[in-house]
Formats: sequence, structure tokens, C-alpha cells
Amino acid sequence: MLILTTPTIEGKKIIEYYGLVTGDSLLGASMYKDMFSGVRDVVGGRTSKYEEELTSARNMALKSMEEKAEKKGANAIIGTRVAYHNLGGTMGNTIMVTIFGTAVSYQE
Amino acid sequence: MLASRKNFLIENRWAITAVILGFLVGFTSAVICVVFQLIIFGFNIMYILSPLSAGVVETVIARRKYGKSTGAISALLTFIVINIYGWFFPGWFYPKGPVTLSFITLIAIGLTIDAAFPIFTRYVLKVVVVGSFIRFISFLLNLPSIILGNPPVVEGGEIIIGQPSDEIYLDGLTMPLVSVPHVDGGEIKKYVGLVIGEAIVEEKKSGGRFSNLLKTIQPKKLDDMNLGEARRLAISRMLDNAKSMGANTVLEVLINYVSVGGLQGNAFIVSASGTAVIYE
Repeated sequence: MLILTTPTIEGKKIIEYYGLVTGDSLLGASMYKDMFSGVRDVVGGRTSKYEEELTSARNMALKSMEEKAEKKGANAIIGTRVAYHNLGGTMGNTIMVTIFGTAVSYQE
Repeated sequence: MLASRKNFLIENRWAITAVILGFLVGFTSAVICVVFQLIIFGFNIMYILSPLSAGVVETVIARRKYGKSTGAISALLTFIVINIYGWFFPGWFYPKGPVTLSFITLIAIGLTIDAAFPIFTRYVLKVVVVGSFIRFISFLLNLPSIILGNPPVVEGGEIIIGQPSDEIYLDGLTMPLVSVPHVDGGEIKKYVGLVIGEAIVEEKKSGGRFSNLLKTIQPKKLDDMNLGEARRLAISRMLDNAKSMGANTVLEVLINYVSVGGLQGNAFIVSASGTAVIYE
């Protein structure tokens, strides 16, 4: 599956548009997790647990978008956009990752 | 001037009515409590009952007629009035003993402060209390090494790891990064796919709890964040992804900033996304 952010595929012809496909996932870092990563920082080992989890949440969203596009019979997604939203209110610990694009099929 | 004031009164007539009615209900209940000496656990129940009933009446009327809550102004007014009466003029209206500081007064004061300044109390509960708890735990964890005489090395607050990519690194690329989908004068050999890079930057923690409390009401300074470094890190991670997939450049690079963290301290997610291609 070809996933692009560009609106066209240069040198290839798009034969059919299947419409919008989306994928999203939530990343809820609990207070305890924060606490223990803080503890780990103190004990010595530097951690970027949050960044790792962010990457895995993004990959999950990407995968669910890809599955939807495959179900529609597309072989590429164009005009893809990635957005991160903060859902946590005053605690601010929940992050939503959304990915959306247009499922198309192009001539190989 | 007069017309605008009149308009304001007409628009907010239900809010004002709700506040006045709530205050009247609270005041009446306080008077009843004083007259009949409704005392439980050696404590007049008006200190809890009157602000509560005032707040309930006000909120119900405001929700029904005004459409939204007015923020329990009458509860605060009632609380102030009966406390002035209880602390400074005991026995003026009806003979009774003065207010003494007890567990119940403390709870009542806490509840009223929470109704008046919700963000402040939430900051105290969720940030100051939790933060003190975390400090206590880390102190306990560090205790053995302090006793043994070699305190652990605590590194700075920034979570920035990996190779630093600076402007020189970006200038050294054979093909510049562009934020447009098409570049004239060349040919895209092959599309490789979507590449993303992320970095999290935390606000520099400086000073104690008090200055952090002040920061919640002060405007932010750009110097407090290491945003440039985080942006370079996000771009370099994206480029690393692209290189590992066999591409030689990235088209249509977009950079996004999202604020996370709420009251517990500020952090930013910086993300860079683009389309990796083989370009000639």
C-alpha cells in the first residue's frame, strides 16, 4: 500500500477514487505511568517512554486506515494528513492521533 | 450608554434573579438555623446548609431559565455573610457561642473555595499533592544511596535523545526539504510512502512549587521551551525513517505543534510528516 501526502502521483494515472479513509487511536498515559517514568528518571535510566508510546499509537492509527482502504479495494492513499489532539482537560494526559487520506487506485 | 446597560440587564435578568433568590434562600435558612439553634456535633449546621441550599437554588433556576450555570455566586455571598456574623458578631442577632475552628469549618471553607476557584483547588489537589507524593517516593528511593554516600546523578528535565540535527545537518543534504508536493526540474523515480517523526519537548522546570503556581496565571515565554531543538529532532527522525526506507528526500513536509500536559506542566509534541521519494 502506497501512502502519500501529495494530492497526485506523478507519472501515474489514478483510475478510481474510493473516498475518505480514516484511522485513529488514543494514547492514555495514566498518572501511575507518569509517576513511574519519573521514578525511573530519578533512579538513573533515561526514558522516553512517552515518545515510544506515541509512535506505537501512530502506527496503530496508520494500520487501521490501511485496512479500511484495502477493504475498499484501493492500492494507494493520497493526500494523507496526520494530526495529534490533546483530550485530557486539566490533566491533559490523553492524546488522540488521527490520520486521514483519500483511498484511490492507480495504474501500475 | 443607558440603552446598553438596559440591554445587559434584560439579557441577564434570569441570572440576576437566580443569584438574588439563591442568596435569599441561603440567608433565610441561616436565620432559621440561628433562631432554632440547629446544632449538631456542637456546631451550627448553617455553615454547611446555607451556602449549599443557596447554591442549589441558584444553579437550578439558572440552568432552567438562563441556560447555563452562574457559578454559585450566591453560595459565596451567603458564606461570607454568615462567616462575618459568626466570627465577628457572635450573639448579635441571637445569643449563642462564637464559631470555633473545627474539622467541619475547615471542610466548609474548602468546599466554598472549590466552588469559587475550581482551577486553583484542582491545581492544588492534582499537581501540588501528587507532586509532593512523587518527591517523597523518589526521596525514599534515593535514601539508600544517600546513606551509602554516592547520590545518583539526576540529569536535566529535557527528554531529548538521539543525534542532534542542526541547521548544518539540514544544509548538508544533497536535496533540500520542501513543503510543496511538486518540484520542477527533476523527476520523481519512485514514491516510497508516508514518513513521520515526533519529538516531545517539556517546559524547563525552574524554581519551586510556588513559581510553578505563578506560571499558571502568567503568559508563557518562548524561552521556556526548547522548541527549535525539538523541531530539528522531529525532522531528523523523519529523515532517518525515510533513509531507512531507501528514499533520498522528502516532499511536502508539514510540521505540527500540539500542546499536552494541562496543569501538570507544559509539554509540546512536535511532529513532522511528509512523503518520502526517490528523486533525481
